[in-house]
Amino acid sequence: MRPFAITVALLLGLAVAVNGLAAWDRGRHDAQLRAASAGFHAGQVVLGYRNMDERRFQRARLQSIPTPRIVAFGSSRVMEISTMLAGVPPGAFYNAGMSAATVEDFIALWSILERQGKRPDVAWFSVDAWALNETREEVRWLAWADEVSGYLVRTGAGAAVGGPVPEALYIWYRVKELLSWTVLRTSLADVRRLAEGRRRHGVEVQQALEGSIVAESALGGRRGLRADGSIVYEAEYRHLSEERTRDEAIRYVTAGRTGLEGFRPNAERAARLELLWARMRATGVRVIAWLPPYHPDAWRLIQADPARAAGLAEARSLLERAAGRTGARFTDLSDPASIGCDAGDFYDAIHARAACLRRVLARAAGA
Amino acid sequence: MLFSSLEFLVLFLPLTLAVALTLRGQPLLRWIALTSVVFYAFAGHWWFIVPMLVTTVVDFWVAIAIAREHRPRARGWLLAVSLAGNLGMLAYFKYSGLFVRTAASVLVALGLEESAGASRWFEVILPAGISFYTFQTLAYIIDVWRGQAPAERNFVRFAGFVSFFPHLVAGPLTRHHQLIPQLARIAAIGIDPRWREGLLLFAVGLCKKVLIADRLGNLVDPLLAPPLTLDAPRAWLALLGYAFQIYFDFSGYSDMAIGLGRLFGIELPQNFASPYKATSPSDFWRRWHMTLSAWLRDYLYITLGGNRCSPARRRVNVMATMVLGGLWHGAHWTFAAWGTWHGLLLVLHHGLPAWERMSAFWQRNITFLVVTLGWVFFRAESFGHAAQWFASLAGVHGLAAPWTPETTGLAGLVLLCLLIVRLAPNSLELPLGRLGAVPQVGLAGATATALLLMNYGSKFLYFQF
Repeated sequence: MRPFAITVALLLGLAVAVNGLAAWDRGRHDAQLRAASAGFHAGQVVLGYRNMDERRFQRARLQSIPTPRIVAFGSSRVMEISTMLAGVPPGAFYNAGMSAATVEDFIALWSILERQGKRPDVAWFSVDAWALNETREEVRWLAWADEVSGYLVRTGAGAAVGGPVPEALYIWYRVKELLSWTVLRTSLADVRRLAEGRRRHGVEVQQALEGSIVAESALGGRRGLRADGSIVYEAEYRHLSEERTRDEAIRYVTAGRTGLEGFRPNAERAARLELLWARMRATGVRVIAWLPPYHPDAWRLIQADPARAAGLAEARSLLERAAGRTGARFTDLSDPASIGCDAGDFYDAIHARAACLRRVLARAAGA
Repeated sequence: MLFSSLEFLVLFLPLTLAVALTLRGQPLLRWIALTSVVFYAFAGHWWFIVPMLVTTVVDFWVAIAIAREHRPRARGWLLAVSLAGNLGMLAYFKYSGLFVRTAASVLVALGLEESAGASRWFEVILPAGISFYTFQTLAYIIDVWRGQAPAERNFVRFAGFVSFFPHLVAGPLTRHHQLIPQLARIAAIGIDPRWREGLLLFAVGLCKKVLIADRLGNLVDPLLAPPLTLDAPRAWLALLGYAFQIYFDFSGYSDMAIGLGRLFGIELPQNFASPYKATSPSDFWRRWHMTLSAWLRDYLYITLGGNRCSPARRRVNVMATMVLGGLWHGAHWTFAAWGTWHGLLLVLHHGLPAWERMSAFWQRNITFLVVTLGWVFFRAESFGHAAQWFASLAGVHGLAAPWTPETTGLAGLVLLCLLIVRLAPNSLELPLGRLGAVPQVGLAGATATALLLMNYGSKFLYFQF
């Protein structure tokens, strides 16, 4: 029994040490990132966004931007909404969209804004149905689980900030991270980079902000990210033929990539979203949410499959319930026909072009 | 709360065990019952404890009333009260949705309008483990009514029997005569943990669940997403992958439950005995989910007449038992189809004298093949989905497509599983009490990996039943 117990303890101790070391190093790096982010202004774009660590970028940016009037939350499906598309003056809009963003990401983003005292008047939420599917594992948000845990502890069940129970919960979440394989993999990569004298993971964000910022007019056909958080796609992606887009939309469903496969409602995540909206509403923020539209062919195939259609309906029902309880405004725009978007309005199965997004905003926000 | 969660392993279990080690008598039983209720309250929704407590209280008093009553008619009425309560609750929570959905489709098929609002009343969340503890208390009540068991007079001990957390959510289905005397024993002498055999068996179960079943699930689930249009090799790989996923998931859970029981000085019954080594469908059911098979045999098959009737009637009994056994697993007609499939296999096997003349090699492989084919009904989300899967298995969607790294990974894992289930001893046959240092270090490495991986892992498949 002793060899078993000692080996388990040693291996877990090693994992905790590696995760602890990497967490300490990430903390140091985040300070450098914040400093680099301060010099990024409207009219500029940062290159190389595809390879960035988006959560670190957003954490740094939210601390640098002025208080926006409107903030957009969502996955990459919301990222093309710019200040111009939002129809507000420069500085009044910030797009906090990120690839595969889920409810916990929204919480982390809001937590940072709230701590900074940058509370907007309006929050737009483009919520993907897959984010509410329990069978779909979401791990990217774990990169800032500390922020999420902190927020949940601050707001959860009316517990007082800084009390012993929230403190214990917070410590518990941190302990869990130290024993997570997902975190360990990232940490091992970080530690290996450090040991080999290579660039630290995430350093590209800092370097891009320090050296890869150009005027938007000089972007050419490259991909970049504006200072308001909105994305400019590369020319190659923007000019995909309608035929290829259609093929991609069909493959998206038939290859089982919709995230609606085996849908089981994630009650915990829905409750967290409701908590977030309730908290926002309590502080006077207008919450406007929608289920974003699919490419017409993707929509048709999803509706043709009872399991996926039921999953989408479940997600809609969870969002309706959360909106109804919190006073948020919710509109289901997953059917592209409901807002007059056709095949030409999409880059692929799920990413709508600006013209379609304008209709989304018009319908959802009444803008 | 999941066994494979840090909350359970780092907080709940050590605290529960540490306090239990200091207690004796009624306080120990109270502690076990209390912590089991807390465990269950974290198994999904806190209100799950309400139906369990109702079952516990009602059956405790009904059993005592049956034992006191000598008039057969009155005893029958008391039994009926318990059966109605238990089965009624199970019917409401588990099967009402199925019946309403079925009725709605019949109405639609007849061209009549379905009342959309009516079905909403039956869209209820299934409390985890309700099928398990309901069957346990049913067995107890029936045995008391038959005069085969005394009524338990100690409420705390009875509550411990129903709710003992290692077996509460997904079995093994433990009978009163297996658990109540053991609870009485530990109350008298303390819990006397079997540390080595308990912890190592728990570790084996954890590794089976996290390192094998969850990895298989990650590879198989995307392949089985409807509409299912796989080429034949991939369809077969997905089928084999699922066959091994459900085995390692459920037997891993059972190993963990038995291991946990040993930490409290309680021996829970064996639930799996290398089922994929079975040499016939009957042999399979003696090795797969053994506690459920025994329950169905004792309280359903024998009650229907069992073997003491004509061959035709016996076949009907087998079919009825297996169809109901299938439906026990879930409120969907695909589970009834799975039960029917196994019923047919059992009937065919009994009526096929040539089977016994076959070599063990063929018996084993044919049994494995037909059992595996049955998993299509078990896993499919609908009959349409099952039909798509069978079509893929038959090569309707192509005989070969380029392999991806995921397919290769799945093939490798399936092969490994095949070797394990055919060549390795059963978990309970492992000499855990005298495991050498090197195997212990190996198991520790696997356990540490599983502990790291489980942090954001999936739930157990059998929780839904």
